Amino acid sequence: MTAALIRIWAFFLRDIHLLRRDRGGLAVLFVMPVALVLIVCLVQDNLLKISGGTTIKLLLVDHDNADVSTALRAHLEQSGAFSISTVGREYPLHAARRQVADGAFQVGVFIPAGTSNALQQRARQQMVAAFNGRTVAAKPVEVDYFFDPAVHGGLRAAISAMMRQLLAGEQARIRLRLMRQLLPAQIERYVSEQLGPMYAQLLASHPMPIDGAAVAAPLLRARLHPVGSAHAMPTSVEHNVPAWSVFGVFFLVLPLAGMLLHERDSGIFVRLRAAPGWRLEPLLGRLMVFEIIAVIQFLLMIAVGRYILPLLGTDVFRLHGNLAALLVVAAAAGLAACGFGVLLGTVARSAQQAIMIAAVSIVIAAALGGIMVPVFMMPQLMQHISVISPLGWAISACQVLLLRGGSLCDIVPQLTALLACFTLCVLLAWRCAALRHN
Amino acid sequence: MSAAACILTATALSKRYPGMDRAAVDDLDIEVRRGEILGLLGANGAGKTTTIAMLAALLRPDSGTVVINGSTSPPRAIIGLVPQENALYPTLTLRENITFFARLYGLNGARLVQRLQQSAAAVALEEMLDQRVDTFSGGMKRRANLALGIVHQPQLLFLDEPTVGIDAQSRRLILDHLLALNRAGTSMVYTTHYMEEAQQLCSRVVIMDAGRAVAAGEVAPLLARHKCTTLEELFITLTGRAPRD
Repeated sequence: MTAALIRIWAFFLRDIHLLRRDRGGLAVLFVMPVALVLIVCLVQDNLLKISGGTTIKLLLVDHDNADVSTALRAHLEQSGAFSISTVGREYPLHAARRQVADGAFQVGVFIPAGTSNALQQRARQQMVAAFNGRTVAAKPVEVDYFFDPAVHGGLRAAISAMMRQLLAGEQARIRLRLMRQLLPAQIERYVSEQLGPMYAQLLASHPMPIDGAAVAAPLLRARLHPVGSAHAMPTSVEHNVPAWSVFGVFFLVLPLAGMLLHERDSGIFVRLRAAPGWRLEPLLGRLMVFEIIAVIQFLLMIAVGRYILPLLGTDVFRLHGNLAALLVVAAAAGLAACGFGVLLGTVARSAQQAIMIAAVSIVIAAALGGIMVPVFMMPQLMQHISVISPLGWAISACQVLLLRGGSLCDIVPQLTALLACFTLCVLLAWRCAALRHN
Repeated sequence: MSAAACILTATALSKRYPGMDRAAVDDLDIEVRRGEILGLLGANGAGKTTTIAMLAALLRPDSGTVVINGSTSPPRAIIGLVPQENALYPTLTLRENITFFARLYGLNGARLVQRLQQSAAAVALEEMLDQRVDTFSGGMKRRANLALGIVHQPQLLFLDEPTVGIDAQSRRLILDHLLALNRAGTSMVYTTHYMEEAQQLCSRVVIMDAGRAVAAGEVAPLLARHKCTTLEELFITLTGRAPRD
């Protein structure tokens, strides 16, 4: 083995020993990201439930138990948006409202007893009056619905629109059925009055064919096309596992900068600089260790997403066959983090200053990069600023792989940016160190 | 003195730090002959550490040259450094510390194990090899600091106040080992505040004050020339009684 390789190996082993004795550092590197992924995924999983990102729990209180309630339930089930629990007359309205107010269901629908009969009667009255050239002002039959107070405005509006559409459809169906029943007799009566009974009898012997089913067939339909990928919209797990994994990888900055500062303050750096090969080998040895940690961190987070989070009730984290490419992203993010750590460990005046700068800058870069709020939801100005976040580049690469069906070739720009960030930080650190020592 | 007889020759070394009103080292000439221990003596702030940093290629001088073993590019493999601070990884064991620094000088395998044992034994810490350094006493840390500097058996060893703040036993042990190393051929540049230590150890001394060499030469002739009996007396005569920092 050449002397340079022996030195790189020495630096590698040294950092392994230092890290395995640093329980606080290990907690920052492994426990903190896992805790973040678990907590944020579970919190946002619930948030998605109240904002419509997952199946909505609906309590259907059916005191009618006739045509209208059967049809309404069928339509709600067909929509696929609801997980429906149906209760009957034994369940009073106030109990249903309390259940929904307590958050057990996101929506409650109450169909009072006799709704179907009342609707039939009112429709018939309207139709008969219309055939006689009159208008009846009857109070509409009412179906009640109510929301969990935590349900967001957008979801409320969507469900309200859906309820109006379902009820309008049901009214149209009833009116059409009545029309089919009443129209022939009405035409016969009208012909008899206008042209005489003989024509009416002739008309009655040749009944007008009306196919209700044919008229009820839909004429206009909206089609939803998935954009970019065959996968559905990202779940809480699909967004949070890669996002917080990247966040965790960037926390490599803390122990790395801490190690450099300790070496600088304790005189070890002086001793290292007196030894052969002090320029490149320390960096290479250290990079090997922290790159391995970045990849292990990422694998750990993926394992949490695949095996632990589903046990707690969330969706499974799906890789879509991109594990190798994701690990390349982890390594590139690790490099950028190492570069920042080296720069911070070189320019910071103390460990406290380094910790403060690292923590604040990582959180800011995470916010800008779309870890907490997706970039597309930010104001225009912030969207422009967000392109400077290395965490944003790494998250964007993960999204290309996981959500847009991309491959390694599609994330070359993000990987290049991360590599450039590493190079720039190391060169700046080198320059600062040279200025200090000369 | 011929170039071959000197392992280190520094000529007209100067260094001024930004914002300082005077040079930390000003036009300093130093020669270290092969096999000698050169004492670099001075009060706090006299420029000893800056001088060592420039000699060991840790700091670029503003002017002047340093030639070690005939080369202006520092041959780091033959240089050893024992810094003023205990430059050790406190959470590593002594074995891990020595092994790490030995590998930086290309030592590996059986040679590394042999040197590891030798350097630990030289400072009487062979029983402590598997103890973490942060459990060591102050004296043990000082001795460990020396072990790390000598593990690769350097030809030229820079020692920056290696006995500061330790008990008499540890100091005696360190000095005895340095003399043994010197007898085996290691040349040394030694800075200290302890004049009796320098008198006992060094064949020649350079006395520095405010960045300049105020006297240099072999100890006995220097004392005779200034009619002093001890190095401390000579030092006070040359630099005065008032604090210098």
